[in-house]
Amino acid sequence: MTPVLELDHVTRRFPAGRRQTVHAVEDVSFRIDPGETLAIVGESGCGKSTVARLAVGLLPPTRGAVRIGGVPAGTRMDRETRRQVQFVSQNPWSALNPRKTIGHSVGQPLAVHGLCRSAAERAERVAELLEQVGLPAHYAARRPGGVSGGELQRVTVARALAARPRAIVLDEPTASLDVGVKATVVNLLLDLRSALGLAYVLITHELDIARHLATRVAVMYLGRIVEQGPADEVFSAPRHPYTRMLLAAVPVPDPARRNLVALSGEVPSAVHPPPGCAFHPRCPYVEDACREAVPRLIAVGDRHSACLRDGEIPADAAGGA
Amino acid sequence: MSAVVSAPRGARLLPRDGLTWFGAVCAALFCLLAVLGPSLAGDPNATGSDVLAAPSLTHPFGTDQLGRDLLARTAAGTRVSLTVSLAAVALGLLVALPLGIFAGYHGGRLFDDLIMRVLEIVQALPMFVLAMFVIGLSGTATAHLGPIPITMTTKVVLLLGVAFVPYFARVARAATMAETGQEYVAALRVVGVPRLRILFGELLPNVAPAMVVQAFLAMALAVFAEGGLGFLGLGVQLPQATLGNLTGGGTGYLPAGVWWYSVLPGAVMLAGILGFNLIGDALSDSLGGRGTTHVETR
Amino acid sequence: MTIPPSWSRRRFLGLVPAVSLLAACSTAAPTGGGRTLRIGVAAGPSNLNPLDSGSEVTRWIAEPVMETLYDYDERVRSVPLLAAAEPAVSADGLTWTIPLKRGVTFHNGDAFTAEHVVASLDHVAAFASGSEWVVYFLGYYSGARAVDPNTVEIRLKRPYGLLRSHLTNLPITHRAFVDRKDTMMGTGPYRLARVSAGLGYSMTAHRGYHGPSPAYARLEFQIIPDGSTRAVNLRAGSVDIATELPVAALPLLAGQQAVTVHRVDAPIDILTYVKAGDPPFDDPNFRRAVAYAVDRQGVNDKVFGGAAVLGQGPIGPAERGYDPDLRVFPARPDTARARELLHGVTAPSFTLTISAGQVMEDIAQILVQSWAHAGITVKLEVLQGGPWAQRWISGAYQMIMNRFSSGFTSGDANYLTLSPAQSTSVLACGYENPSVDTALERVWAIDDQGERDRLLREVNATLTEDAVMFPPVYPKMIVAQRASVSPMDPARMKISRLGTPRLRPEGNAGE
Repeated sequence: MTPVLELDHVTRRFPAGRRQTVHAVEDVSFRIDPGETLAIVGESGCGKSTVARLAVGLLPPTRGAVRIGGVPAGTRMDRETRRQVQFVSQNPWSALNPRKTIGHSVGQPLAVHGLCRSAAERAERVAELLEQVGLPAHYAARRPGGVSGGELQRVTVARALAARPRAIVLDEPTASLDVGVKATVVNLLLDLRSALGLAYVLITHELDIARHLATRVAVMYLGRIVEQGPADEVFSAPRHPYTRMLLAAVPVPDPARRNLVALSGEVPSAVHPPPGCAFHPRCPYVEDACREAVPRLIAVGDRHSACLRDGEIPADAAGGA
Repeated sequence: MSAVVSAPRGARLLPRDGLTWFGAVCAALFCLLAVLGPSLAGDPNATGSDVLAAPSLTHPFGTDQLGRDLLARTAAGTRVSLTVSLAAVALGLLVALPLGIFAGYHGGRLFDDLIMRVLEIVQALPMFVLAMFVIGLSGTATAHLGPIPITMTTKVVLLLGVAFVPYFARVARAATMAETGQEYVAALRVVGVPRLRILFGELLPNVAPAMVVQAFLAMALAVFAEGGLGFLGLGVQLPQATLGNLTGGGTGYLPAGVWWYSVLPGAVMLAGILGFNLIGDALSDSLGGRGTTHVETR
Repeated sequence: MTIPPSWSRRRFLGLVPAVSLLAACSTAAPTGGGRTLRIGVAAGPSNLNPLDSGSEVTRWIAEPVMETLYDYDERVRSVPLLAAAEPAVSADGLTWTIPLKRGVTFHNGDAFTAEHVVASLDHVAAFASGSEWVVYFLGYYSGARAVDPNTVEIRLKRPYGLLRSHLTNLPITHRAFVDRKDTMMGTGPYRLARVSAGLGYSMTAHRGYHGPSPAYARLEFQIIPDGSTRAVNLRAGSVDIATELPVAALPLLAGQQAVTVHRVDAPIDILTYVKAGDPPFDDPNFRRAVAYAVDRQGVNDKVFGGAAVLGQGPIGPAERGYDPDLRVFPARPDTARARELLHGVTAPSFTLTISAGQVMEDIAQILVQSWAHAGITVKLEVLQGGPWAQRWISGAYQMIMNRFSSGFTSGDANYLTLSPAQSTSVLACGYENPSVDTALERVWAIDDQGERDRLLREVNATLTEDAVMFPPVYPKMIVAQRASVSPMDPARMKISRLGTPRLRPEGNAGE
């Protein structure tokens, strides 16, 4: 089956003046099939936002290829290809043109892709979309100015839906929302997925959100995917030392675990990544070989992990989920 | 990507302080004189026998050396000032907006650099020097570009318009760059909106407030520049009265005690400049949130 | 030809500080004995060569510095100056032999000899020099040679009685200086010491002068572009003589004890004529209609304060051939007559090309109004001096106006002003009248002044009735002086000169 979205060994580097390059994304590959939700998690600076932009064609890859529905998709895609993958970004206030009405913004994909035959039809469809995301139809006449964050985020989802995409890339969709509102958005996404069979690429650093929505998970560190696999497996039994660290650091209401294990050290600079395995300066299992070679993703069944000592580390060390 | 919180929209109207009201009144009177004055004040070119008469009931602004009513001439001159200024600002915006928006959208890349370098060259020439150079070369008579007559009025409008382009373009560029940094521009690209529609359908309305401010300030500058050129004899030519050539023509009579000839048209010019300037300032303050720009220095 | 001071207002802004400084400096009496005569003028000419440029300021600056072969006495008769005696004319009238005065030196020490006279004559006769004198020499002058160091021989192609007038008006310069536009070299009582571009010119007394000793140690011409400022400076005593005072400035001097304002009829023309060879002015009725609709009284009242004489034809009161009884046109515009003459012409209109300057612009605006009342639409075209001259010489005008000081090139006459009416002239305006052609040729050929005057009167009458040349007024020369200077000579002013070589300090020292 042709994946809805596929990244094939995609690398993206940025020049950073004075002959320095930022290695934002290195050799990242994944595929999304219809109905799947891939969560890409990691700390800030790991390159996941860049991956999001690569996936929707806002950036061209330095190396490798992005394919949408099997068709190569760079920054100059034809309209039909572009339609299939839509985008929801982190900040709903700046994601909508403040001077245009909500109805205008939601209706734009309809106009651009010629999905409605008349303005009246478009207005009807906009009302439908708003209702689908749980907003009253009269919001179409309002401007983003007086609308709350959570509702605005739902508007951006409605806009993303308008083009009838097969997949939506969501870049930190709940990061700037209040706790209670987060839940509303998550539920909406779940409902839409079951109703419309959408695929999601969910970029987030909020692991609990990821747990709720994801069918598969990819963990990124310094531009590379270090672990990848079915969500429940990765979350319950992480293999890569970094994943273990990440999950151990998440506050969990478990009386058995009083002490959180803080992640030691900081994410190194993407301009001068450490030699060999990028994680080795912080890894509790580091050995000499780790400093020399960049580990490849080792597959075990459906799971991949990029650690040289993959089989050696006991499953429950450093705390599990 | 920075998260910018939008400014409260209610502050659109002009602030209600005394200075702004004063400015608004000045500008309104200026425009009123320009629009209604000529039809009410009489023939600006009719010579009379009462030469260099002081202001009186029959001649509220006095008369000039040929006995012409100075109120009528001032009104005619204000109309020319207003027309030339509006035309120059409109021309400047027409050329500068697309340039600035394109440059801002492509911020930091080749297109942007190219446009900005060209504009810098234009901006390097002081406006008056440029005007004197051009008018000195081409003379004050009506030039002809093939079959098209280029009158002095056209020349002044073109010169001022061209001189405004770099300023307008810079502001448009900065405003566009600030907008382009906003997420919705990227979102629109993902939606598939064609670039031109993004630039002129979506970005332009957000750039507009900053441009409105600039337009008012430029109006003030244009009235001043047209007046300055006229004062030096480089503007629209006689017998057409302009605020500049009235103020300038009257200087020769000042030592003889004829103050009204220079001072009154000069005061009208001042009112126009001040009025537009103050309105522009007030708009700039009230549109501060998104009207001004946090410029990335590149 | 006089190009009136242009750009006066522009210079005003820049020169105010300079002028104040200069005025402050010049109020102090010069040290080391002797006094300074300070003269305020309106502009600095771009060409300081009086052989080329007829601008008033150039000629006034040249007046104390350079001399002519013959000069005018107090009765405006020609008497020898650099020449030793009257010229000897051959029987066929084609060879003129002129003996030169001995013992005269230039300011640079060189002796004044015939070769310098020859060089000056050859210069003005050459088309390439761009001199206005060329109109006088073209077709007549064949050449000149130095027979010996003190005798000049001029050869002509045709008998040329008017040459005597030219010899009385053409300044003679050193042969190395004929092309110089930045300085002057002459034999006069003062030598040009310093040229400060845009500010002024200063001269020192030439102690080796062959005539009466110069009375001042220095002469200074100060450029003060604004007329009212010149008047104020005169009143304050920072200049002793102020030239070209506009009418609006005269009230500033009213009632000033130490100031005298001279208003003299002088050969200053408002050169006004039409392109009679092309439409619409090839129609005599159209020309006459335009001439009848001119508001002469209005121009006199408003621009000249009533001091000028109303105009009829091209010859004015200070010029030979003037007829005070010639009264073709009324003082006020005769609109009815004009409309009658325009009967049959649809939408009468034309373009008036004038030179830039306050006076010309004011005159033109009054005329445009009076023509508008007669139903004639006139478009006004104002050009700076250079572009105006180009239009004039190329003939690209319909009606043209400018101020022209004839006194410098023809003394008490204005022969050059009449040239455009001659169909063979290089300045011809397209008017074809054989009787005028013949008359003007005779004026130039003969040497009988009485006969010449009669012919000029005739030509004047014809050109007036035919409405080819019809200036609105004849302006007077308006110069004001302080009592610190000896009274200026009306006979000099009658030929547009200031009489600087003969002026002396008078009264107490200072102002």
